[in-house]
Amino acid sequence: MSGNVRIVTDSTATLEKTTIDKYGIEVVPLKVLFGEEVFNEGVDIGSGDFYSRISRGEIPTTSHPGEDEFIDVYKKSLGSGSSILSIHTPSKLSGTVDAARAARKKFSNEAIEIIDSRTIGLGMLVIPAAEAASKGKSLKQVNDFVQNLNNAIYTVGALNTLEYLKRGGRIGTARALLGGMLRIKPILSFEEGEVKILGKARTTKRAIRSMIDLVSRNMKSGESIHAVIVYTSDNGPAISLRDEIDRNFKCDNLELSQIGPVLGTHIGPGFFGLGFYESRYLKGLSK
Amino acid sequence: MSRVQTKKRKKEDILTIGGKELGEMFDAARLWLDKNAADIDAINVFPVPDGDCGKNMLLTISSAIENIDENKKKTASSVMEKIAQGALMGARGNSGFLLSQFLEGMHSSTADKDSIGVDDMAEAISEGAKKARAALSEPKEGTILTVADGAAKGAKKAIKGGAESLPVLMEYIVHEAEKSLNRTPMLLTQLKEAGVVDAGGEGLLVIFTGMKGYLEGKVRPRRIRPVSKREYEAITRAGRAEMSDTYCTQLMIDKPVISANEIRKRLLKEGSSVIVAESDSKLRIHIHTDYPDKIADYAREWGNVKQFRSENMKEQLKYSIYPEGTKGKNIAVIAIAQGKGMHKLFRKLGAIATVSGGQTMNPSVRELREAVEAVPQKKVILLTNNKNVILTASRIGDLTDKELAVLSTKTMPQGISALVAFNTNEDIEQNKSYMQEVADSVITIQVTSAVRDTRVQNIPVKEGQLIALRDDEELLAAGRDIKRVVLDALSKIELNNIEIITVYYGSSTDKKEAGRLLESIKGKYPEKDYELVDGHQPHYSYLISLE
Repeated sequence: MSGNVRIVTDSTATLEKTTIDKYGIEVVPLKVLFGEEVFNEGVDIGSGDFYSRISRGEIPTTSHPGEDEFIDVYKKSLGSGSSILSIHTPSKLSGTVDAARAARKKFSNEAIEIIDSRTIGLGMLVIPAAEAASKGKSLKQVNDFVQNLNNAIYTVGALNTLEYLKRGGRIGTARALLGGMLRIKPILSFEEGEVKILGKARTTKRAIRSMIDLVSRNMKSGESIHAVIVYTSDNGPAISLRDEIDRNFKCDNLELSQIGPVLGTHIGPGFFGLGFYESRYLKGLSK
Repeated sequence: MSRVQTKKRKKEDILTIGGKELGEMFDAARLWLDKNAADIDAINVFPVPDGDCGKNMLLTISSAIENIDENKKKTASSVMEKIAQGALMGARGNSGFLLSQFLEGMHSSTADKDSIGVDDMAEAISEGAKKARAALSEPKEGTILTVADGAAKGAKKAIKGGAESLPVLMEYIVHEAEKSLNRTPMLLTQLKEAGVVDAGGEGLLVIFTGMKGYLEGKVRPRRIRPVSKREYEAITRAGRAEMSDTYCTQLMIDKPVISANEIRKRLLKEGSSVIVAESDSKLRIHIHTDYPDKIADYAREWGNVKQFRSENMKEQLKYSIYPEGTKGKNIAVIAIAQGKGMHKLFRKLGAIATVSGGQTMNPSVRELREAVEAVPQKKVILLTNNKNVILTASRIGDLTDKELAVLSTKTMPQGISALVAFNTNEDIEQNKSYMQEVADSVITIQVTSAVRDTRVQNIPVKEGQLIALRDDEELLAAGRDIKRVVLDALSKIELNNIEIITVYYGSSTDKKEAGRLLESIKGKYPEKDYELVDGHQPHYSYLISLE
């Protein structure tokens, strides 16, 4: 099957509706639960509402889509003659990828590829993927291109507290203690989709400085970059970070994006950071 | 070598001295310093209880004397070597350190001498002055260095004037040193404002006077510049708060004549960590006290004293090592800290060891070196956390094979922020520069009570008044009301770029009072982040860091 690749992703990508419509992207929602209340992310709970509820001390939980939901989505796309590239939130943070993989097994052909992303800025992969698909690239071409981007992505951020990662079992208790003291912000990266603590800072200023440092060190060519600044509840530090990134690097793309309720549940309020790759990795697109 | 008679001596008698006399001469200097140490402490200009200049010099020279080998056959050079070595290892505080450098200069100039004559001594004093000056990258006038130079000038004058005996030489030296000391207020504004001479300089003059006294056969030391009774008392008071419960005293009483309970009650008035254990007809007693002699006297009334042991805890190892290992580049961070809350905080933040010390009890070179040697890591970062520790700490690098980086953090909050910036994945050089940068960006407000009436930067300060200082240098505010003093101090600092205000309250401060103070600061600056920490530090009722 050539051409006509359908991009499937999940709600943690927090895509704009216009983007979804433009490329015909299928978005499988994850769920956020406040006690008995169940919300579909991006459908019936928005970020503003979500963060104000956790700031009031409510403790949410999340659930990823089941195998069945993926089977339905895949069936629909395959039925219309498309092949599928399914791009999802890191498997270290969510079971979404596992559900997608299980669903794929129900289909005998090779027309579904699944990408376990390495970043919390999923849009950085999904939009270029959709763009490539819209240019009539084959599934293999789009898949190779996105895999390359995925390997080139580097994501860093500063947490206000490790409490949320700890609560979700995504980091050990000993390390979580550190975050609770003296307003220390752990600086972390998502490498191979896994949370790694790289350093710590007490002030936003120093956290930004550490992140700038980490971006420099992880740039191979020193050329221009494509970056997305992400944040959970508070965009103030994110804006400062964006300005500093803009001042220190040549940016072809620099946007601000609020992290949705599901990832917000795991990393907590006050988080800000960025995902970036060097722009040269996007060149595969025009070939 | 001409023998020295302790009593009947004429000035012109003593032409040379050997090792034994040299040791005795410095011991006499030590006695003189002992007599004058509290007066020297009292004129330490800053109105905070860091009046420890005399104490530091005394501890330094005591360490020098203790290092002299009793039994060996003594040449002058061998004794001088021991003195220099002992002084360096025991050096505390800036003036103690500079004294050790002075003695080191004297040692290197007399390195091959069996005995020391007039020319040798004159040369040694000049070399001492040079060595002390060379130890500082930016030597300041109006300090101990000025007095050392005065002594060197006196030595030169004496030689020119044909002085033929050591007592005559010392007379020149003392005379010129004193002239220089009296000039120090003209050279340093802070001294002039406070109406005092430099304390370190005075300490050095006392040492010269003691040396002269020994050579002249005047064995009884006297106070050369007694300060007012009130100042003297204020300073001893401040010193005592720190010295509390120094001796770990343990004894056993056989067949006590009063009950264990009665004894416990009595002991509680004399110190802390009181344990009275009864077994058979014996009592085991343990107490931390400043007055072991008093305990011994009591004990004799209570029954048969079987064993009595009293150890100076300050002389014991003053560092604790925490077993948690470091990962990454395997670098140990050692912090000098004061107050149990501060020790705990440094430890929690990842310090491998903490050394007790800081204000009024600067750790010695020896203590710091021991701590550096004791940690298992080969690479060590040392956080000084007090400006009077920086100089002594800077010497440790020469005394250890370990790779050592000394961070000149001037206050504990600076050290804490530096420690937060420590990254186990980076090497020692990178850590050093980043941690130092972070430390330097932290402003510390120190709140304490003035121990003496004085003027600082033209603000009159009364004894007992609360004062707020910025980074141990600038007086920001003074007054009686804590809230007003702190808010006044904060209003004098540019706070626009400040994100976090951390209030560390001291051992003498009530937690509720600290909470109330925090609320008033918050009320004034609601947009900042706040943290309240029980630092339990002595001397400073509050340390407030702005970053």
